[in-house]
Amino acid sequence: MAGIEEQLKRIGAASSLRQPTPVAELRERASHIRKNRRRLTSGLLIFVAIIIFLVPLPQLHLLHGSTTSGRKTGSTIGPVGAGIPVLGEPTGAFAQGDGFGEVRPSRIYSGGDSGESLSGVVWKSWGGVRAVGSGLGKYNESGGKVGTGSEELATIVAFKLGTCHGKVMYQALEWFFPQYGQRFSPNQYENICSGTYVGRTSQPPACLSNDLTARRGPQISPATGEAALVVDLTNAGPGSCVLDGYPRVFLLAREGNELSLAQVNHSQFITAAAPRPLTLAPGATAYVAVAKYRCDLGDLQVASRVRLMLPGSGPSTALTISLSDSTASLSSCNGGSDDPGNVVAVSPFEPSLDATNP
Amino acid sequence: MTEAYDGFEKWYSGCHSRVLAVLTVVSGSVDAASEATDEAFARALARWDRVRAMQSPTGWTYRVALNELRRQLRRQGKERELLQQAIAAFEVEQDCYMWLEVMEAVRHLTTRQRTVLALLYIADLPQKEVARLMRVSRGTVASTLADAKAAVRNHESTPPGKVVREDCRGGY
Repeated sequence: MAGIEEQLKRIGAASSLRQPTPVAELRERASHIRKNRRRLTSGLLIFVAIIIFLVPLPQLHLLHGSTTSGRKTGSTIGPVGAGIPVLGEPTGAFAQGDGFGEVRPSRIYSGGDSGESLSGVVWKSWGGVRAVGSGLGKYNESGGKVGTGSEELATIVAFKLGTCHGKVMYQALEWFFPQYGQRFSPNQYENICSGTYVGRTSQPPACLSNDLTARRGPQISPATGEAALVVDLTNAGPGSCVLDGYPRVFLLAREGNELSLAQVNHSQFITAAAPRPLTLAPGATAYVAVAKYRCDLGDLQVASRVRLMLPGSGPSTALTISLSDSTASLSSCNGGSDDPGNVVAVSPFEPSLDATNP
Repeated sequence: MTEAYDGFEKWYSGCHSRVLAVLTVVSGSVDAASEATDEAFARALARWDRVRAMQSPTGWTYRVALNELRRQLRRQGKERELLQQAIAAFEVEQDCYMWLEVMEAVRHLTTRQRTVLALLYIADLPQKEVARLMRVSRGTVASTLADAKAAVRNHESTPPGKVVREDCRGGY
């Protein structure tokens, strides 16, 4: 009998005890892990916020001139004490908003078209160079803080402490969702002294997969040797939204696994034009063309579905369409990574079918 | 694969079989090992950006997988039971006899001894890496290894256990 060392080494070099679980399944599992991690982070932040809320703050004693340790928010505190800054003032774009001009407001509503608001705000600090707190706001995957999306814990920062129109106030305000990787950005905020947005454009928000319906577009005649299809993306949401860049395209086999293909942005059939932001009004359609060269060395796996992932979104919000048998030539090829048939070309989002061609 | 998952599939297919084999030797159960292995790779995928930048993504995976295995077995209260029944419960179709021989040889070792042997000789990790991964000193790894080898030798000199070739259901 061989020594244990030799036996174990033989096992290490032997073929696997079991076939590895398909990556698609692992991905599903990874997605759950990420979701659970986010929930845990949010829970911890809420717990921390509650603890902070329960800690008596000396500033409140000053405001009340009493020894009470109860915690009140700015909107119910009463007259502003001398030298205690307020949160900007309701002016300009924020004239119809809530919480401006107050000390430690518990609700902040921008009053703008986007309807951004933050409720249940708990301030961890107030009166220093920066005031920091947390509250619940709407988050969506496009990364912006807009009026739609799930309610999540946000961190709020009031900064640029100074005098505006004779009042001591925080003149800048920003909030963000750290659990989604967002960070404080001193160059992008609401100027609550002048009533303007700084560092933000007024263009509509990025389109989300929920806003769009995807379907197979018209049949097209690709270049010689290429197979192609067009995907129509129609804005089914209530407002305009913007598509910019390229979608990530995955061809899926009947078994659910992704075909191993590299993605490029132009080919004989696909335009090499750079992407431009495309604003989709409600009901308007954008087009994406997908093309690939045939398999000269034979098909490895044939695609039965196409999955599109919008820029900045995750796999859980991808758009999927089924392919009919007539698209059987969309397949991965036997020739490995050097095979020109193992590359799929994808156009940017275009306003017309013609614009997807060179 | 998206850019965020670049390189995962190749790495996964390259190291899956060794991770599974290590956990199988440690636990005595292919099922428990397979579950912990999947969980570890799913966690690696969930944070692939960070894991692939690590000095040793595979080392990280071994640690996560071993922790997960321990957690699973403890939760199920099965650690001792599984080890006692390692041979009887062991059903593989590939290289069956080779596996049975190994499982019989390590059955009487402690979990730490089996872990050290598996990481050194199946995973082919250096002692320094095994020590880091198990959060023990290098000296502890060396002494555990010596004890494990001695225990295997002593066991070899005793009459054979229940292993018979028929356990392999005809294929090995």
